[in-house]
Amino acid sequence: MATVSRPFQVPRPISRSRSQRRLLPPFMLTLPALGVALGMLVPIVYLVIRAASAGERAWLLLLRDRTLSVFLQTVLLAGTTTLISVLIAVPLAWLLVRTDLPLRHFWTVATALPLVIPSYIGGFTVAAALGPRGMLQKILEPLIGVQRLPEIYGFPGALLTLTLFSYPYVLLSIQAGLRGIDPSLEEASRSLGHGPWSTFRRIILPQLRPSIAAGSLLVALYALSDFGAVSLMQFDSFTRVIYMQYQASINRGFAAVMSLALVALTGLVLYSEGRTRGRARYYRSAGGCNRPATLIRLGRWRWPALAFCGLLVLLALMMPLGVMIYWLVQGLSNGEPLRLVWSAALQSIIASGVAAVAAVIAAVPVAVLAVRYSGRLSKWIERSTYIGHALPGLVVALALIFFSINVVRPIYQTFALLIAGYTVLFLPQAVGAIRSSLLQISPRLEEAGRSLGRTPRQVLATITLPMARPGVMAGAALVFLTTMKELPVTLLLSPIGFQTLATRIWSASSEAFWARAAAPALLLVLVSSLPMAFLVLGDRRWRS
Amino acid sequence: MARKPQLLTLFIALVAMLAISACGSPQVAPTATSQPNTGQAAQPTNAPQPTEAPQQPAETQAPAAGQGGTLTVYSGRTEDLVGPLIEQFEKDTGIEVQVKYGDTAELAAALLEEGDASPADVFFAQDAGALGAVRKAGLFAPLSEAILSRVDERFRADDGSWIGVSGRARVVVYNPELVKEEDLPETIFGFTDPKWKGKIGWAPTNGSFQAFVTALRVLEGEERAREWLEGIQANEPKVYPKNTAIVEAVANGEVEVGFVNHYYLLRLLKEKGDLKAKNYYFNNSDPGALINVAGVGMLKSSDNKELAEQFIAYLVSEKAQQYFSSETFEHPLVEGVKADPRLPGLSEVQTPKIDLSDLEDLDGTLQLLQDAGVL
Amino acid sequence: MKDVAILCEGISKRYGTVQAVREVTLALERGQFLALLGPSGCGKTTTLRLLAGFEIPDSGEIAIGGQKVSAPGLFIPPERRRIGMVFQDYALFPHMNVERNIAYGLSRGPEQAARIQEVLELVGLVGLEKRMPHELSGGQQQRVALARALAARPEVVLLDEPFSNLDTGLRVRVRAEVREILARAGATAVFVTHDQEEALSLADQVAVMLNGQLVQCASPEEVLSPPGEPPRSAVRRRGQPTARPGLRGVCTL
Repeated sequence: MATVSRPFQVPRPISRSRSQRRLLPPFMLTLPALGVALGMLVPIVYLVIRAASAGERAWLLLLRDRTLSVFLQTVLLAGTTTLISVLIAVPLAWLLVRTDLPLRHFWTVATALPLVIPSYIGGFTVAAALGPRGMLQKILEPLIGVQRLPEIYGFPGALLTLTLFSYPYVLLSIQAGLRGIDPSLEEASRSLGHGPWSTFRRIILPQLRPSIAAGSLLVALYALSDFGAVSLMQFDSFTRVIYMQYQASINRGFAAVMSLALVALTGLVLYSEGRTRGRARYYRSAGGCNRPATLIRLGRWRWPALAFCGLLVLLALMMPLGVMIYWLVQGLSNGEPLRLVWSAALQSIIASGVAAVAAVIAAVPVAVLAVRYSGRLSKWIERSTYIGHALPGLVVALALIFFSINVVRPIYQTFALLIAGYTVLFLPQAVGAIRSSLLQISPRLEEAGRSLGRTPRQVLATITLPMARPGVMAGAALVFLTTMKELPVTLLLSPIGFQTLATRIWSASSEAFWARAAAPALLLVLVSSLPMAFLVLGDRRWRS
Repeated sequence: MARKPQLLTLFIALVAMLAISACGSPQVAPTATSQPNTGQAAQPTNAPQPTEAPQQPAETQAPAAGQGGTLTVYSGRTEDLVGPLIEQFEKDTGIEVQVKYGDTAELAAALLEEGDASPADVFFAQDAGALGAVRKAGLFAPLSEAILSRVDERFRADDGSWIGVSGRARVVVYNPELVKEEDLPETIFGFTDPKWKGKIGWAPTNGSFQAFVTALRVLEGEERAREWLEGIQANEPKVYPKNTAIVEAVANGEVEVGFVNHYYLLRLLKEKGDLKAKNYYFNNSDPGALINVAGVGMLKSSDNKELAEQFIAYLVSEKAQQYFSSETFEHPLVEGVKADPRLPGLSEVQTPKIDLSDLEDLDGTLQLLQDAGVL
Repeated sequence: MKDVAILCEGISKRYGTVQAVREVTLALERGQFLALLGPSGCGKTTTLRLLAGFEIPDSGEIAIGGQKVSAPGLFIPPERRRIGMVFQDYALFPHMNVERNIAYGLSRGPEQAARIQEVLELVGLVGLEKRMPHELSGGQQQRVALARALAARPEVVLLDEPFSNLDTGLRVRVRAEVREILARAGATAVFVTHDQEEALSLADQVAVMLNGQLVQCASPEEVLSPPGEPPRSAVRRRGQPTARPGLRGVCTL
């Protein structure tokens, strides 16, 4: 055995002895992630405190038959909304990403834009257009003599509204997933004798499973927490019942008990989504060295494809825009001045922009931890970020009021608290997008960085994050877009005098000044379309 | 392709810049409400203000409190409705008013969470129920007799904790081409008659409607209220999401009558010019003749009680009452202020005998509506 | 006595119930090439990753360039081990061009550009500095990976199945080239392979691994004409402890 000529220089040990002898996540990752997770628990702590002081009666109310029926109705609504969204989004994403559909870029933006339409506007326009004697009936009556369309209120209206304005969550997620699939997998399948359909079903679809699950989760949680659609369509979901408790009797105890029931339901949804994630790995074997997939030629099939896209855009985008323009024109012709509320638009952009940045900063440690150091703790941390998204905005706002009044009084009614509220609500959108981006980056690349003398922090900054940029950008854009239309948290947590487009729309529409609501609503869609275009046409520089 | 990321970076940089500039200023300043005069108001140059404020019963007790004064108002009434009035108050008194607009019930819930730490001085609510809930939590300070006496007892809290500032009457909107006024019943119970089958429009999710049902329960008892709901339900009424939709449906003949608040018709007339619809008022203490109020209370935790009373006094001054009458088409509650010529005077309407604070408990109403299959 | 570049003493690594690496002890002289040869799943890649610092051994000690990098209670992270690694799929950073990939391991300064040119000349890729990884052929990508690993003059270059992504014709040529480049750079190298011919033609020392254990360590000639036990017969001895535990699998020079 060789002896060593130089004595061992004992270097400064940087890590303590490890009992398990496995790589633990660095503290610079764990600490912020834990902090984020604790922040996410604020609403739950609040609800437990309120529910505890609610007294026996509130808990008894939970046990009545109606609670079960609300529970089932909510599950039915969220489940059906999610299912139909997936059924729309899968073929649509495939058409937009993998085929030579005419006007592909236009459809890519137009089919994603319904996401920016607030449900309290969307729901109203659905009712105004498709109600029993709505605009559609007025068009149809002289043509084929339809006196009355079927009733829209209740389940069908709530389902339609939620689906039309939330399916883009799945669409965006699947599109990103499709772009990330290594085309050689598809070619391998074709070479092994599978046709395009069989390849899609047996290779593409299973590869898309995480994307579908991630998007579905957002849709399902949105359907659980949205108030606009269910209230306008008079469908008793948990959220509506919770709101009713506040609006009818300001019964905070029972509202808290019902909210906790909603949290439990959310846990169920998260659990079942976690089950679908499976153990497969989805990053490519060779990072960054792939070609773009060749587009599939639709041929004669482009006509039905165009009809499908057209119908969807008509319902989910043109219909609400049309109704709003109709209101605006009608108001203007009756002497209502055109108020473009640029200052509100500016404040919307500021608040949403800062919220997007804040959510991304909070999401990065959570997502990196979840992807690179998977374990029980990181899983719990990641899952905890989804809670806020499933709670009605009002509950989150009240929780943060409670928290800031009792713990950090100076930040009450400051811009900082507002941003914290947005982050609690929309963090999972950023976590999900960044997570799926990270999943596609081979850990070998990070190891290469380490072997070349860079610390984990430097590797994160120079390799991981730049490569995850599409996910970071997509997450930021999603948070930006949903913050633009957010209402209850904005109303309760913003500094006094702070107004956004959403609060302007609400202010006018709640007093039925539809003409006045139309201008900020159109402005909201307009301002949102730019980031939306970036989001969907996006950063594919080194992808293709 | 290569240009897009740059544009996006630019966009983000812009947002970040705006954000930094917004955070730099201690309060986010540029809003629609802040007028040039707010700058002066912050200075202690407003000594002669009390004399500028006209016809204020409370003015004698409000010597502007030295600090020039900023008042914080939580308003459940939207800016579209009361913004101009508050601006006028700022102009008239030199007091700066910071307004947090929101949904009445949500603001009430926020007030309950804030408790003694509330930054609010005044709560301006859309309906009496929310005022009742805040009163029940003991968060209101009693108002002075000088203010309370401006408004009829029917429209304020019996303990003086809040006061109504404008009236919102429950009415029946009807299409005069389809139904004559003399054919309309004298009591709300008349609509349970089968002859109204398929002719009624209502909005059971609407807060004002639910307040009316609560009044019905309080006035007539649970059983009668249930009978009424079931009677209407048997007439297969058409369900609308909002009052405005009912008025429109009546005007285009979709239904003949609808249960609404009185001012929706007037507002729609302003927006659309002409409509085939008229309001019908019940009378003789019928539950249908309920007049709910938008009202205001002063928070016990306020450090600005003088300014708060000055503001509340302003809301029941003739000037503000005139504003409600001509701009929001509500009933002014102060004697001698003229209502819109299309509205009956309040003294002509004999409202049911009910303490509006009792409208606070709507839990039972929801239960009843659900049991009757209405919700 | 010559410098020792790598010294491993009794390193073991277990994943759950699988004992991936068992009591491996080896030493490698500076400037020598060592091939870790064995079938897939024998623990050779894990050994390489333990050397690199991507995994923490359960027991044993590792020293690189005379500096202890892994021992009970001591773990030096990969970035402070002065290693260069060439990955099986090269792991070129897809968002950086050739130049920036190579510069990644270098500290900023006036010498950086000169060193980049130097290694590019060494691997024969001058003129391709601005290319993105996906614009290069497989052979070129590999040479970039090699240049990147060599740029910071590491104590040891670790290569994980470096030629498995190349077609057979190319492989023989690239193999010779890589050997040439490493020799000219004066590097010490450890590479993992399952190809006996590759190991014998490239390495100065061949370490044969089986089931996580080092079963033979010798020069290519000795492996070809075994004096005692050839690698194949070792299969039959699987799991049996050898008589001389202190010297088991020691790669002496």
